[in-house]
Amino acid sequence: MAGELILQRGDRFGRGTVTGGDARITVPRGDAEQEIVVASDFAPDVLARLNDLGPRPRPEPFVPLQFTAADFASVLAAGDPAAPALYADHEPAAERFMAGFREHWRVEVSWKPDRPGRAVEVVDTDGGLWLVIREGSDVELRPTTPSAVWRLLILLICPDDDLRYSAVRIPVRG
Amino acid sequence: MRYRHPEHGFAIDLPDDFEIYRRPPLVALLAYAPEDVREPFKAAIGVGVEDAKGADVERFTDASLVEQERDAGFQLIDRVSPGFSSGGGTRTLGHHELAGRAATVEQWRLVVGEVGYTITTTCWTLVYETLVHAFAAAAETFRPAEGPP
Repeated sequence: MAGELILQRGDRFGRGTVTGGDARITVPRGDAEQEIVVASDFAPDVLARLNDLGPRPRPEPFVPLQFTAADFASVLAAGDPAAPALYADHEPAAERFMAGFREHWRVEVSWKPDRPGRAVEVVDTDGGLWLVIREGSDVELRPTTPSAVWRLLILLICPDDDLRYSAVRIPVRG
Repeated sequence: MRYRHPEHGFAIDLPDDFEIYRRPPLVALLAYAPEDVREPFKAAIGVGVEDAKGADVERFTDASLVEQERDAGFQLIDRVSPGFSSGGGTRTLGHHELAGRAATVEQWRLVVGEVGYTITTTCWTLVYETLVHAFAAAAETFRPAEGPP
Protein backbone atom coordinates (compact mmCIF):
# COMPACT_ATOMS: atom_id res chain seq x y z
CA MET A 1 0.00 0.00 0.00
CA ALA A 2 1.29 3.44 -0.89
CA GLY A 3 0.05 6.79 0.26
CA GLU A 4 0.15 9.73 -2.12
CA LEU A 5 1.47 12.91 -0.57
CA ILE A 6 0.65 16.44 -1.62
CA LEU A 7 2.55 19.26 0.05
CA GLN A 8 1.77 22.96 -0.11
CA ARG A 9 3.83 25.70 1.48
CA GLY A 10 2.70 29.15 0.47
CA ASP A 11 2.50 29.03 -3.32
CA ARG A 12 4.96 26.16 -3.66
CA PHE A 13 3.90 22.56 -4.10
CA GLY A 14 5.59 19.23 -3.52
CA ARG A 15 4.53 15.63 -3.88
CA GLY A 16 5.57 12.20 -2.79
CA THR A 17 4.70 8.68 -1.78
CA VAL A 18 4.93 6.84 1.49
CA THR A 19 4.92 3.05 1.88
CA GLY A 20 5.69 0.66 4.70
CA GLY A 21 9.30 0.86 3.61
CA ASP A 22 10.20 4.34 2.57
CA ALA A 23 8.97 7.83 1.84
CA ARG A 24 9.92 9.73 -1.32
CA ILE A 25 9.20 13.43 -1.25
CA THR A 26 9.92 15.84 -4.08
CA VAL A 27 9.96 19.56 -3.32
CA PRO A 28 10.95 22.62 -5.32
CA ARG A 29 14.47 23.88 -4.70
CA GLY A 30 15.29 27.03 -6.60
CA ASP A 31 14.47 26.38 -10.24
CA ALA A 32 14.86 22.63 -9.82
CA GLU A 33 13.43 19.90 -7.67
CA GLN A 34 14.90 17.93 -4.79
CA GLU A 35 13.90 14.37 -4.01
CA ILE A 36 14.19 13.31 -0.38
CA VAL A 37 14.18 9.56 0.30
CA VAL A 38 13.99 8.29 3.86
CA ALA A 39 12.71 5.27 5.76
CA SER A 40 8.99 5.84 6.21
CA ASP A 41 9.23 6.29 9.97
CA PHE A 42 11.28 9.43 9.29
CA ALA A 43 8.52 10.95 7.13
CA PRO A 44 7.06 13.03 10.00
CA ASP A 45 10.56 14.37 10.65
CA VAL A 46 10.99 15.37 7.00
CA LEU A 47 7.56 17.02 6.91
CA ALA A 48 8.34 18.88 10.14
CA ARG A 49 11.67 20.13 8.82
CA LEU A 50 10.23 21.17 5.46
CA ASN A 51 7.62 23.21 7.29
CA ASP A 52 9.92 24.64 9.96
CA LEU A 53 7.95 23.04 12.80
CA GLY A 54 9.58 24.20 16.01
CA PRO A 55 8.89 25.91 19.32
CA ARG A 56 6.29 28.68 19.17
CA PRO A 57 4.39 30.62 21.80
CA ARG A 58 0.80 29.61 22.48
CA PRO A 59 -1.68 31.89 20.70
CA GLU A 60 -3.44 34.10 23.23
CA PRO A 61 -6.30 34.22 23.73
CA PHE A 62 -6.43 30.49 23.05
CA VAL A 63 -9.76 30.67 21.23
CA PRO A 64 -10.73 29.65 17.68
CA LEU A 65 -11.39 32.12 14.87
CA GLN A 66 -14.16 31.67 12.31
CA PHE A 67 -13.88 32.71 8.68
CA THR A 68 -15.66 32.02 5.48
CA ALA A 69 -13.40 30.19 3.06
CA ALA A 70 -13.43 33.24 0.81
CA ASP A 71 -12.40 35.60 3.62
CA PHE A 72 -9.70 33.22 4.75
CA ALA A 73 -8.30 33.02 1.22
CA SER A 74 -8.32 36.82 1.06
CA VAL A 75 -6.51 37.12 4.37
CA LEU A 76 -3.85 34.68 3.20
CA ALA A 77 -3.54 36.44 -0.13
CA ALA A 78 -3.11 39.77 1.66
CA GLY A 79 -0.24 38.22 3.57
CA ASP A 80 0.24 41.17 5.89
CA PRO A 81 -1.56 42.90 8.72
CA ALA A 82 -2.51 45.83 6.51
CA ALA A 83 -5.88 44.38 5.64
CA PRO A 84 -7.70 44.54 8.97
CA ALA A 85 -11.02 45.17 7.25
CA LEU A 86 -10.93 41.56 6.11
CA TYR A 87 -11.17 40.35 9.65
CA ALA A 88 -12.72 43.26 11.44
CA ASP A 89 -15.28 40.93 12.94
CA HIS A 90 -12.60 38.79 14.51
CA GLU A 91 -10.66 41.27 16.57
CA PRO A 92 -8.56 41.18 18.59
CA ALA A 93 -7.19 37.70 18.01
CA ALA A 94 -7.29 37.94 14.24
CA GLU A 95 -5.15 41.05 14.17
CA ARG A 96 -2.50 39.29 16.18
CA PHE A 97 -2.87 36.25 13.94
CA MET A 98 -1.88 38.15 10.84
CA ALA A 99 0.58 40.53 12.48
CA GLY A 100 3.17 37.80 12.83
CA PHE A 101 2.28 35.74 9.78
CA ARG A 102 5.09 33.37 8.77
CA GLU A 103 3.64 30.77 6.44
CA HIS A 104 0.59 28.78 5.51
CA TRP A 105 1.27 25.10 4.84
CA ARG A 106 -0.63 21.91 4.22
CA VAL A 107 0.20 18.23 3.90
CA GLU A 108 -2.32 15.74 2.53
CA VAL A 109 -2.01 11.98 2.30
CA SER A 110 -4.39 9.78 0.31
CA TRP A 111 -4.12 6.07 0.93
CA LYS A 112 -6.93 5.00 -1.40
CA PRO A 113 -7.75 6.68 -4.72
CA ASP A 114 -11.49 6.47 -4.12
CA ARG A 115 -11.41 7.98 -0.65
CA PRO A 116 -10.59 11.50 0.47
CA GLY A 117 -7.20 11.97 1.99
CA ARG A 118 -6.34 13.22 5.44
CA ALA A 119 -4.70 16.58 5.76
CA VAL A 120 -2.87 18.72 8.26
CA GLU A 121 -3.17 22.40 7.43
CA VAL A 122 -1.44 25.02 9.54
CA VAL A 123 -1.00 28.77 9.68
CA ASP A 124 2.37 29.51 11.27
CA THR A 125 2.73 32.88 12.98
CA ASP A 126 5.13 34.53 15.40
CA GLY A 127 2.34 34.32 17.95
CA GLY A 128 1.85 30.60 17.53
CA LEU A 129 0.37 27.88 15.33
CA TRP A 130 -3.21 27.66 14.09
CA LEU A 131 -4.79 24.50 12.78
CA VAL A 132 -7.02 25.08 9.76
CA ILE A 133 -10.28 23.12 9.96
CA ARG A 134 -12.37 23.29 6.79
CA GLU A 135 -16.05 22.41 6.84
CA GLY A 136 -17.93 23.27 3.69
CA SER A 137 -17.59 26.97 3.04
CA ASP A 138 -16.46 27.66 6.62
CA VAL A 139 -12.93 27.75 7.97
CA GLU A 140 -12.09 27.53 11.63
CA LEU A 141 -8.63 28.50 12.80
CA ARG A 142 -8.01 26.55 15.96
CA PRO A 143 -5.07 27.54 18.16
CA THR A 144 -2.67 24.66 18.47
CA THR A 145 0.84 23.75 19.53
CA PRO A 146 3.92 22.29 17.84
CA SER A 147 3.46 19.15 19.97
CA ALA A 148 -0.07 18.68 18.69
CA VAL A 149 0.98 19.24 15.07
CA TRP A 150 3.78 16.70 15.51
CA ARG A 151 1.22 14.12 16.63
CA LEU A 152 -0.99 14.92 13.64
CA LEU A 153 1.93 14.49 11.23
CA ILE A 154 2.62 11.07 12.73
CA LEU A 155 -1.02 10.05 12.36
CA LEU A 156 -1.04 11.35 8.81
CA ILE A 157 1.47 8.83 7.56
CA CYS A 158 -0.20 5.81 9.15
CA PRO A 159 -2.31 3.94 6.57
CA ASP A 160 -6.03 3.71 7.32
CA ASP A 161 -5.83 -0.05 7.74
CA ASP A 162 -3.07 0.34 10.27
CA LEU A 163 -4.61 3.21 12.13
CA ARG A 164 -4.73 2.12 15.72
CA TYR A 165 -5.48 5.65 16.69
CA SER A 166 -8.83 6.24 15.03
CA ALA A 167 -10.48 7.14 18.32
CA VAL A 168 -7.89 9.77 19.08
CA ARG A 169 -9.35 13.22 19.40
CA ILE A 170 -7.49 15.91 17.50
CA PRO A 171 -5.21 17.42 20.12
CA VAL A 172 -5.48 21.14 20.57
CA ARG A 173 -3.34 21.90 23.55
CA GLY A 174 -0.35 19.71 24.21
CA MET B 1 3.79 1.37 40.19
CA ARG B 2 5.25 3.89 42.62
CA TYR B 3 9.02 4.00 42.51
CA ARG B 4 11.23 5.84 44.97
CA HIS B 5 14.93 6.03 44.29
CA PRO B 6 16.92 4.67 47.25
CA GLU B 7 19.73 7.22 47.00
CA HIS B 8 18.35 10.29 45.26
CA GLY B 9 15.02 10.20 47.01
CA PHE B 10 12.84 11.21 44.07
CA ALA B 11 9.61 9.35 43.36
CA ILE B 12 7.63 8.67 40.21
CA ASP B 13 4.66 6.52 39.21
CA LEU B 14 5.62 4.27 36.30
CA PRO B 15 3.15 2.37 34.10
CA ASP B 16 2.51 -1.00 35.74
CA ASP B 17 3.87 -3.03 32.84
CA PHE B 18 7.17 -1.17 32.62
CA GLU B 19 10.28 -3.04 33.73
CA ILE B 20 12.96 -1.26 35.74
CA TYR B 21 16.50 -1.72 34.48
CA ARG B 22 18.56 -2.52 37.55
CA ARG B 23 21.87 -0.90 36.68
CA PRO B 24 21.16 1.93 34.27
CA PRO B 25 24.19 3.66 32.79
CA LEU B 26 24.40 7.46 33.14
CA VAL B 27 20.92 7.94 34.59
CA ALA B 28 19.38 7.31 38.00
CA LEU B 29 16.37 5.39 36.71
CA LEU B 30 15.57 3.62 33.46
CA ALA B 31 12.37 1.66 32.85
CA TYR B 32 11.37 -0.10 29.66
CA ALA B 33 7.98 -0.76 28.13
CA PRO B 34 7.08 -4.40 27.50
CA GLU B 35 8.18 -6.01 24.27
CA ASP B 36 6.17 -5.12 21.17
CA VAL B 37 7.11 -6.98 18.02
CA ARG B 38 6.10 -3.98 15.91
CA GLU B 39 8.58 -1.70 17.54
CA PRO B 40 12.26 -1.65 16.57
CA PHE B 41 13.26 -0.65 20.10
CA LYS B 42 11.58 -0.51 23.48
CA ALA B 43 9.98 2.66 24.70
CA ALA B 44 11.54 3.92 27.90
CA ILE B 45 11.16 6.33 30.77
CA GLY B 46 14.32 7.58 32.46
CA VAL B 47 15.21 10.02 35.19
CA GLY B 48 18.51 11.85 35.31
CA VAL B 49 19.81 13.66 38.37
CA GLU B 50 22.67 16.14 38.12
CA ASP B 51 24.20 19.25 39.58
CA ALA B 52 22.33 22.19 38.08
CA LYS B 53 25.40 24.37 38.72
CA GLY B 54 23.35 27.26 39.96
CA ALA B 55 21.18 27.44 36.87
CA ASP B 56 17.45 28.02 37.02
CA VAL B 57 15.28 25.59 35.10
CA GLU B 58 15.34 27.64 31.88
CA ARG B 59 19.13 27.81 31.80
CA PHE B 60 19.33 24.17 32.85
CA THR B 61 17.07 23.34 29.88
CA ASP B 62 19.12 25.55 27.54
CA ALA B 63 22.31 23.72 28.50
CA SER B 64 20.69 20.33 28.05
CA LEU B 65 19.36 21.24 24.60
CA VAL B 66 22.80 22.48 23.52
CA GLU B 67 24.11 19.00 24.28
CA GLN B 68 21.27 17.33 22.39
CA GLU B 69 21.64 19.58 19.37
CA ARG B 70 25.21 18.39 18.93
CA ASP B 71 23.51 15.30 17.55
CA ALA B 72 23.08 16.43 13.94
CA GLY B 73 19.86 14.47 13.62
CA PHE B 74 18.16 16.08 16.60
CA GLN B 75 15.29 18.42 15.88
CA LEU B 76 13.55 20.40 18.60
CA ILE B 77 9.80 20.40 17.98
CA ASP B 78 8.45 22.17 21.03
CA ARG B 79 9.42 23.81 24.29
CA VAL B 80 6.99 25.06 26.86
CA SER B 81 7.06 26.54 30.35
CA PRO B 82 5.63 25.61 32.73
CA GLY B 83 6.20 22.02 31.77
CA PHE B 84 4.08 20.54 34.54
CA SER B 85 0.35 21.10 34.89
CA SER B 86 0.91 22.10 38.49
CA GLY B 87 3.25 24.87 37.33
CA GLY B 88 7.02 25.09 37.14
CA GLY B 89 9.58 23.16 35.16
CA THR B 90 9.88 22.87 31.40
CA ARG B 91 8.74 20.38 28.78
CA THR B 92 10.51 19.80 25.48
CA LEU B 93 9.65 17.56 22.54
CA GLY B 94 12.19 16.50 19.97
CA HIS B 95 13.01 14.01 17.32
CA HIS B 96 16.20 12.12 16.58
CA GLU B 97 17.63 8.91 15.21
CA LEU B 98 18.05 5.97 17.55
CA ALA B 99 19.57 2.73 16.29
CA GLY B 100 18.80 3.82 12.77
CA ARG B 101 15.11 4.39 13.45
CA ALA B 102 12.99 7.44 14.10
CA ALA B 103 12.65 8.28 17.78
CA THR B 104 10.53 10.87 19.55
CA VAL B 105 11.91 12.14 22.85
CA GLU B 106 9.81 14.13 25.31
CA GLN B 107 11.43 15.54 28.43
CA TRP B 108 10.38 17.34 31.59
CA ARG B 109 12.96 19.26 33.59
CA LEU B 110 12.91 20.61 37.09
CA VAL B 111 15.50 22.33 39.27
CA VAL B 112 15.18 22.09 43.04
CA GLY B 113 17.92 23.82 44.96
CA GLU B 114 21.15 22.75 43.33
CA VAL B 115 19.72 19.60 41.78
CA GLY B 116 18.52 19.34 38.19
CA TYR B 117 16.10 16.55 37.32
CA THR B 118 15.34 15.38 33.78
CA ILE B 119 12.54 12.94 33.06
CA THR B 120 13.12 11.53 29.59
CA THR B 121 10.62 9.47 27.62
CA THR B 122 11.62 7.89 24.34
CA CYS B 123 9.83 5.73 21.82
CA TRP B 124 9.66 4.83 18.15
CA THR B 125 8.00 7.79 16.51
CA LEU B 126 5.22 5.73 14.92
CA VAL B 127 3.96 4.58 18.33
CA TYR B 128 4.30 7.91 20.12
CA GLU B 129 0.56 8.51 19.85
CA THR B 130 -0.16 5.33 21.83
CA LEU B 131 2.23 6.32 24.62
CA VAL B 132 1.94 10.08 24.83
CA HIS B 133 -0.63 10.10 27.62
CA ALA B 134 1.16 7.42 29.66
CA PHE B 135 4.40 9.36 29.37
CA ALA B 136 2.79 12.60 30.50
CA ALA B 137 0.93 10.87 33.32
CA ALA B 138 4.18 9.41 34.64
CA ALA B 139 6.00 12.73 34.40
CA GLU B 140 3.21 14.51 36.25
CA THR B 141 3.66 12.19 39.24
CA PHE B 142 7.34 13.00 39.61
CA ARG B 143 8.32 14.30 43.02
CA PRO B 144 11.88 15.40 43.79
CA ALA B 145 13.69 14.45 46.95
CA GLU B 146 12.18 16.19 49.95
CA GLY B 147 15.47 16.86 51.66
CA PRO B 148 19.19 16.15 51.41
CA PRO B 149 19.90 12.47 50.62
